[in-house]
Amino acid sequence: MADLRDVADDGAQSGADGKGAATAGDAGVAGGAAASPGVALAVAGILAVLVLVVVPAAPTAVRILVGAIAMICLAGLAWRRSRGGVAAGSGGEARVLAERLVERNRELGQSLADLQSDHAKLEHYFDTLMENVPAHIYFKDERSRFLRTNRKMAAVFGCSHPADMVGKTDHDFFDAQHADDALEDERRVMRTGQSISGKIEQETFKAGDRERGWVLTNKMPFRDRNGRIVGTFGISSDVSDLVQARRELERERNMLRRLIDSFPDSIFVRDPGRHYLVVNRAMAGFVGADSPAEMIGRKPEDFFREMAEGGPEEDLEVLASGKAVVNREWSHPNAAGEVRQLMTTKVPLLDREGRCWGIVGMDRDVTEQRQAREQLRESERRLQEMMDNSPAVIWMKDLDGSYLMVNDGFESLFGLERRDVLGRTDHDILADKEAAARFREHDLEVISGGRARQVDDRLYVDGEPRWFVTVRFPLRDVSGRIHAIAGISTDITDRKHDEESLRRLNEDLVKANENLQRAQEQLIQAEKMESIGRLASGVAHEVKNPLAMIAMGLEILARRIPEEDDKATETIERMKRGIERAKKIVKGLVDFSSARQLGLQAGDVNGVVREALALTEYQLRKAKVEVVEDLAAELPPVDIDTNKLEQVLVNLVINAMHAMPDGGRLTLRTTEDRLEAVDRDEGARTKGHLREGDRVVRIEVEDEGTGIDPAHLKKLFDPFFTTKPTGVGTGLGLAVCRKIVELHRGTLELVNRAEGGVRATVTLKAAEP
Amino acid sequence: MKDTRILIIDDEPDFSALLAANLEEAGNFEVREVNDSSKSLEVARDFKPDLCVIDVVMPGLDGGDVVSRFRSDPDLKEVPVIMLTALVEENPNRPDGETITGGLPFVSKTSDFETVLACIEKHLLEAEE
Repeated sequence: MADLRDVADDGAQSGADGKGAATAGDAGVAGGAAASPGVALAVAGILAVLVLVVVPAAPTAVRILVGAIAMICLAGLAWRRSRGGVAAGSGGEARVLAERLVERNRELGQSLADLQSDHAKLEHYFDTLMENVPAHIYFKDERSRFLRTNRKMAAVFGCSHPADMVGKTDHDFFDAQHADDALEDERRVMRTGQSISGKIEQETFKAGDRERGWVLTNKMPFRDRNGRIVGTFGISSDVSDLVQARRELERERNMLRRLIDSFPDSIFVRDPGRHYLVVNRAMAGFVGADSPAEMIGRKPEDFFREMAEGGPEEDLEVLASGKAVVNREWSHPNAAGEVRQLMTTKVPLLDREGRCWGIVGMDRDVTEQRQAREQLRESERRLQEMMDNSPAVIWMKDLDGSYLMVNDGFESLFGLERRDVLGRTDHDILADKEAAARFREHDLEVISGGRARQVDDRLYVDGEPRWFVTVRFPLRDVSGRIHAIAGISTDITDRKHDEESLRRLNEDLVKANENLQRAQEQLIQAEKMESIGRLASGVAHEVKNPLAMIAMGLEILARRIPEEDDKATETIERMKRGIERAKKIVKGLVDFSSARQLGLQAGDVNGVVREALALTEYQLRKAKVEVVEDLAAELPPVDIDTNKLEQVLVNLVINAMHAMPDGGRLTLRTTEDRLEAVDRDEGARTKGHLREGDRVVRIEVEDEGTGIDPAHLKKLFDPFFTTKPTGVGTGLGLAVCRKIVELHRGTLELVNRAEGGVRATVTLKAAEP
Repeated sequence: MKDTRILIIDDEPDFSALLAANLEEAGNFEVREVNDSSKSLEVARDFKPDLCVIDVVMPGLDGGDVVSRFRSDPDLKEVPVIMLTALVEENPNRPDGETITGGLPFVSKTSDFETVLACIEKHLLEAEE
C-alpha cells in the first residue's frame, strides 16, 4: 500500500505542477507587454516560471516563493509602463521622446521577439510534459467535456488524435456506471474546489473488447486566471499491474495464513527475544489461547507452564549456531491437561545477509503415533512371547522369502540365533539346499493360491530324519493384499513313531484279544465239557446200577419163560435191546467223562492208524468202503496215548463210513509238516496249543460223502449233537474225539472238501527230539 | 461136590440179590450177600468164600478199602477178587470183558451175566491151579 500511496502522491504533485505551469504561462504573457526597461523584470518572471516548470519536484514552499517573485516582476513591469506614458506627454522634449519611442519600440520589438521565443519554449515544455508523462492528462470544461488530452490518453480511448476527443465526455467512452461515477466526482471537485487524489478506480470501457483496467486518478479544479473554477483537469495512471500484484500478494498472504492455520501441527515464529511473531490456530488451541493474536508478542513461558528442559537454551543454540533442531521429542500437557507427546522442529530464520532474526518452529503432536507404536511393540512382544512358548516351530517371511519373525522353537531346531535368521532366506540359512528349494516352492504355492496349506515334510536334523507337519498361511494387509507368509511346523516324528508303535500295539492287542477270546471260548467250552463230563460220569454210574439190575433180572425171567411163548420171548429180546442201547449211551458218556488224562508216550502214529483200520476192517468191508492208505514213509515220534488216539481214529473212520451209506473211498493220510500260519476257520477251535513253526504230524481222514451242512459246523463238537438216525450215533463221538486230541495238545478240525465230502484232520505236535 | 462159595459185597441189595439169584440158578454156587461193606470182613471170615465179587463205589468202606483189608487178613488174603463196578466199561478186546488195573480184574456191572459168569469161572479156575 505504501507503494501505491507514493504513486498517488506523485500524481498529486504532478497536478500541482500543472497548475503552476499554467499560472506561469499567464505571467509570461503579461510580462511580454512591459517596456524595455522592464526587460529585467520580465526575464526574472520568466525565469521564475521556468524554475517552476523545469523543477516540478520542488517543494510547495519553493514553488510559492518562485510564484511570488514572478508576480512581483509582473507588477514592476506594469508600473514602468504607466510611468513611460506620462513622460511622452511633456512639451520640450518631443524629439527626445520620439527618439526614445523609436528606441523603445525597437526594444519592445526585441522584447516581443524574445517573449515569443520564450512562449514557444514554454509551449514545447508543456507539450513535452503532456506527451511524455506516463499518464493520461486531460482538461475538461465545466460540463466535463474534454478540452484537451494528451496523445497517450487519446490513443487508449481509441482516438487517433487528441483533437478528436475535444467536446466528448466520459459517457462516450466508458460504460454508464463508471461514466456517472466520474461525472459525480468531477462535479464535486468543481463544487468544492477540493481535489480528489489517489483514487483507484476501475475503468470500464464501453467496447467489450477492451479490458477493464485499474487506474489511479487525480482530479483537480481547473481555474481561469481569475481563480474561477471553469472545469476540471486530471491525471491518471494505469495501475492494473500494481492492483493485480497487490491482490496476488493478499491472496498469497491469506493462503499462507489459512495454510498454517489449517495445519494440525503447532506452527510459530519467534524473534530472538523469544516473542511470538506468528502463531497458528493449532498452537493457540494447544495452549488454550483464545486466538493466535493473543499469543503475539508473548513468550513460550507464558503458555507452557511446564516448559520442557532446554527450551530457552535451545532457542539460543539455534540462534547462535544457525543449525536447526529436528524432531526433538518432549511432552507437555495441553489445554485440557492431557499430557501429549510432542515432536518439535526449530529452524533459524535468516535475513539476506545471513543474520538470524528469528526461529520458525513446529510442534507435532505424536501422542497417537507413539501410543500406536507402543501398542504395536506390545502386540509384537506378546506375539513373540506366544510364539516362543509354543513347542511348534513358527516363522514369518516376506514375499521374497526373507524371515521377518521366528520363534525359540525355530532357533533351537536349526541351531541358529534369531539375528542370524531375520532378513535371510532358507537358501541362506539351510545347508540342505534341496529342502530350501522345497520350502520356497511350498511358500510360493501359498502366495499364489492365497490360501493356507498343510504339508508333511521330512527334514534332516543333526543327521536324523524328522517329520514335520507344516501349516503355511498368507498374511494380508488391511487392503487384503498378501504381504507375508507365516508357518507353524510341528515335529510329528515322535507322534509318527508313537502311531507306529500304537498301531503295532493295537495289532498285538487285537491278536491278544482274539487269542484271549479263543482261550475264553475254549475255557468255557472246557468248563462246559468238564461239568458235562462230571455230570455224565455221575449219571453213568447211577444209571448203570439199575441197568445192571434190570439186565440181571431179565436173565432170570428169560429162563422162566416157556420156549413156546413167542410173545414173551420177543418182549424179553426187545427189553434186552433197550438195555444195550442204554448201555451204549452210558458207555459214550463214560468215555467222554473219563477222557481227562492220558498216558502219553512217544509212539508211531502210522502204527495207530493201521491198528484203527484193523479194528474197523470188517465193518468197512461190509459197508463197501474202499480204504486208501496214504501214509508217510517216515514220521517223527509223537507223544500219544495209543489207546485213546486209536479210539479217535476208529471214531473218525466210522463217521466217514456212515457218511457214505452207499460205499465209497476212504482215504487215510499221514504227513509231516511245519506249521506256517495258524489259520482260523469255523471248524477249528482248538489251535491254542500249536504255534507257528511247530513241527507237526497230520492225520487226515477223507470221505466222499455228502459233507457237513455249514449250519452244523459249529455244533459238530457239542456232546449229544448227531445227525445220524436215532440209535445209530450217540452224539458223543466227536466230542470225545476232540477232547482226546486236545489232551494230546493237538487240534481236530473238520472241513468240507472242495471236491465233496469231509476231511477230518488231527494235527499233533511232534515230540521234541 | 461142595458148592462154590461166592461172596457178593455191594451196597445195592436189589443188584446183589439178582446177581445171587442168577449165580445160584447157573450152577453150584452158594452165594452170600453183604450190603454193608463194614461187615464184609466179618462175614467173609465166617463164610470163607472161594471168590469175592466186590462193588467199588460204596458208602463207608469202598471196594478198594475192602480189598486192602482182605489182603491184610491172613485167612482172606488169597481169596480171588473180582471188582464188579459201573465205573468201568466192558473191555471189548477180551471175552471176559475185564480190565486189569492195579493187579485187580475190573468188570463192568453192565456186562451180560454170561460175561460176568465167565469171568468168575476163570478166576476160580486160576485160583484152583
